[in-house]
Amino acid sequence: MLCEQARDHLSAYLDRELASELSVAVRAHLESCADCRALLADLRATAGLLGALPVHRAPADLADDVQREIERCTILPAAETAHDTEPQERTLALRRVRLWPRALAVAASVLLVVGIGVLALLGPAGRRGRLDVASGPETVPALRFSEEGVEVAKGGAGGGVGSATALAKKEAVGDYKADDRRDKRAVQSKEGGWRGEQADLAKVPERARAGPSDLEHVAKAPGPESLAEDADRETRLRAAEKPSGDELAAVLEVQRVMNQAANGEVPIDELKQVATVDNLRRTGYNNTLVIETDAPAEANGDLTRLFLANDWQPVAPPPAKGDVYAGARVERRFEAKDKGGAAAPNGYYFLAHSDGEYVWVVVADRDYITRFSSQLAADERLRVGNESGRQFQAIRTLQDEVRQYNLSQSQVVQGGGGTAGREVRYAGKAAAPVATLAGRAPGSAGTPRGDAGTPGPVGCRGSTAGDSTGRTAAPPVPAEAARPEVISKLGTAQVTVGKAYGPTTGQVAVQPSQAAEPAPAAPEPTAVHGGKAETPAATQAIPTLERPAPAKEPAGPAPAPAGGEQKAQEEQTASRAKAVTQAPAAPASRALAEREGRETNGRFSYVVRLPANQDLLVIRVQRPGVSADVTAKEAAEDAAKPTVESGH
Amino acid sequence: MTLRFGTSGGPADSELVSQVVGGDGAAFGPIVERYQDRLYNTVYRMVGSAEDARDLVQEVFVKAYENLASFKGTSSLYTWLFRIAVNASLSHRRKRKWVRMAGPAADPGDGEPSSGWADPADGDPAREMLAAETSTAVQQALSQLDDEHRTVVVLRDIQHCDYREIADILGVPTGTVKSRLHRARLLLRDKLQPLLKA
Repeated sequence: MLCEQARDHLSAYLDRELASELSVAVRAHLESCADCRALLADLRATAGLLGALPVHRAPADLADDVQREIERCTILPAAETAHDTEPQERTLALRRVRLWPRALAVAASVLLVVGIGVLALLGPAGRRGRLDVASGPETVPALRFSEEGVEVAKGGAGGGVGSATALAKKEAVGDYKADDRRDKRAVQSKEGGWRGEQADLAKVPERARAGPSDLEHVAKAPGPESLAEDADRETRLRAAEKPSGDELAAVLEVQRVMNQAANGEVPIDELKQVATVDNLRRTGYNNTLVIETDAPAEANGDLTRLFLANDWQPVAPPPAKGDVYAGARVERRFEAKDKGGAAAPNGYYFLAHSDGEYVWVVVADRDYITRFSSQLAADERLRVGNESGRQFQAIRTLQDEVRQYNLSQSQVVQGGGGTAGREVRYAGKAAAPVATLAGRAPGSAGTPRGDAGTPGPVGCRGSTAGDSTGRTAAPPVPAEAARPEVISKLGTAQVTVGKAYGPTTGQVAVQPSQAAEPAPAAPEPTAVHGGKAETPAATQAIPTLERPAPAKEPAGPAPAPAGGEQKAQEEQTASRAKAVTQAPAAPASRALAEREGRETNGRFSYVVRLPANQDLLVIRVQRPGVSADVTAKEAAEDAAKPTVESGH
Repeated sequence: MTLRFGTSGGPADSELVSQVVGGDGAAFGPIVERYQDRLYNTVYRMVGSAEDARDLVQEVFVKAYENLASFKGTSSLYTWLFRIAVNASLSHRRKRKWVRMAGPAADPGDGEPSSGWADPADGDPAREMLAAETSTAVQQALSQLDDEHRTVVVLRDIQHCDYREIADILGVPTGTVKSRLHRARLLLRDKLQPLLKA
């Protein structure tokens, strides 16, 4: 047998699906052919990888959903199709149709009687809703509501009026396939199962008493937007907003793709197509930041360190030696895991890459997004590239805000966000981070603008004296600060970054004296300040919008981090540490959030509709040319539509 | 015939089908419970989304219920259900781009967490990380295959169907199954070279 022939049979040989004679021939060939043996080994390994994939079991409530769907689909459609089907085929449908009309009739009557009674008790408001329902074409939704009331009552338990309302709205537009799992679950029977159930009509009056507003809602429900509104009803009500159908559909689509992308389920091309500034802006996400840089890998590295410093541990292992961690071509996905810190976010983030453009997508608790955004804004090293874009203006605004209110990264991240459950230490003379803290020495960074030229913080590295933004000047990065530092350790996976990075927590910043010591295990969310343990709560910000008083700076030498005596530096650091804990905590996230809302008004429309207090942040890292196009596009759009809605 | 868990015990499929067709709708419950996990895992690997898999499996059972009277028993119920599932999955993939507006983030309670979401606290973090990354890479490679190759490799290497069963499900000759599977594995081998070398 020739190699070419044998290879065609290798998979079947592997699966023992060859006839015996052919199998013998292939085996004989394999004994004499190393190449084919190697190929067989590869095929075996490939099949092994597939076979080793974890088995996903069906959701526990899938069977209930199936039952419910079957029941729902066979109520009306069965009657319609019964005439068109053969007797044998329509047996099931007919059986169900026989069961339902009686229950429908009884329950509808009960609903009608109780509804009238309730409306009579509730007065004009209730009467208005009822009249809307009962008059003209709107009687259809009222009837639907009654039917759904039976559906819920039949389940025998649970289900709010909102659920019935949502279902009624679905029926009103004739779409039984609407995907609203919340509502499905809400009407799920607790006792039904597959054994059949009896209508619990006692439940019906309770539902009918729910109030006129829901009846009114039903009356006004019909419309193509209703389905989408159902899907987002909870969040929309929370936001007290009512977006248009198109807008909401776009938002939901973005959410869908983002959610799928987070699971690695969306091709990067599709993700890129959706996660564009234009699309996100159109859909209302203002949390899109664009970082323009000629060195996207470096910017990604900074972003990665920012994530890590916020206790966002990568689920994926750290890159192999020699890899560019954040500049990897493959998508990498990370998950926020609570390592013991209360501030650990609930969400995920991931990096996608395509055609030289990186898209970071962050979905997390809203508070975390706010904090992270402000940190990002305050990070000097990410202020690269063309700053003419609107997004950069927004970042600059936030950066200015940070300075204006004497905010600092140390205060932006609150209790436990930095050190909880993991090692955090500096291996070098970490004078650099200290300078970014609120309790800085007079004239150092963080004071209001205008003191350019004052010996500034390493944390402002990258900026130059007297630049156009009025930023404070910064000295070059001290050589010591460029030494590697360990900022994260997760089990045996240790992440080491090659450059000193301005910490995002006060806890991290004030322990240079321990730098040379091996990092102790830190199972508790404990911060270390000058060698003393301190609970994260001690550094939590106090939510106030007042500009804090000038830093209560203890007497001490001016910053002289590079090449200075170690003792003096430690003293200085210790004094700063003290100042940090004593300084009035700045209104970090709250102030920024409010400020952001004002500043972005008119620049970005925004609608945040992620549920469960989650928010979405999209960070695009791209080369300047791309952003220029976007900016031009934005300008053109603005010319055509001068007013951009904001806040809705 | 490949041995499958869950098929032993309880009434036979044919008996349940007869009961359902005869008017005992409750008999459909055991059918759902018997096959939902395998269908779900298969569909999940086909479409790569837990939420979509859930919806599709639900759709499969509804279709099966509606058409159970037309099930003649010439093939096994398992094969019949899988045929519906594969067709639904392929159809879904073709139109999935704008097929449906999804709601909020995937409910972690839906099915088992995907491999990429392993909890480092459950065991050795490094190992779980590696497993998660491997799983993600394999799923991505799988998703890059075209429909016919992905289908056959899922049915064989994940569901462990034999060639005849696959042929029945897909309605193609076993020779076609054999060639498609071989081709699919070669494609996957190329895509997964880094993992294979590791």
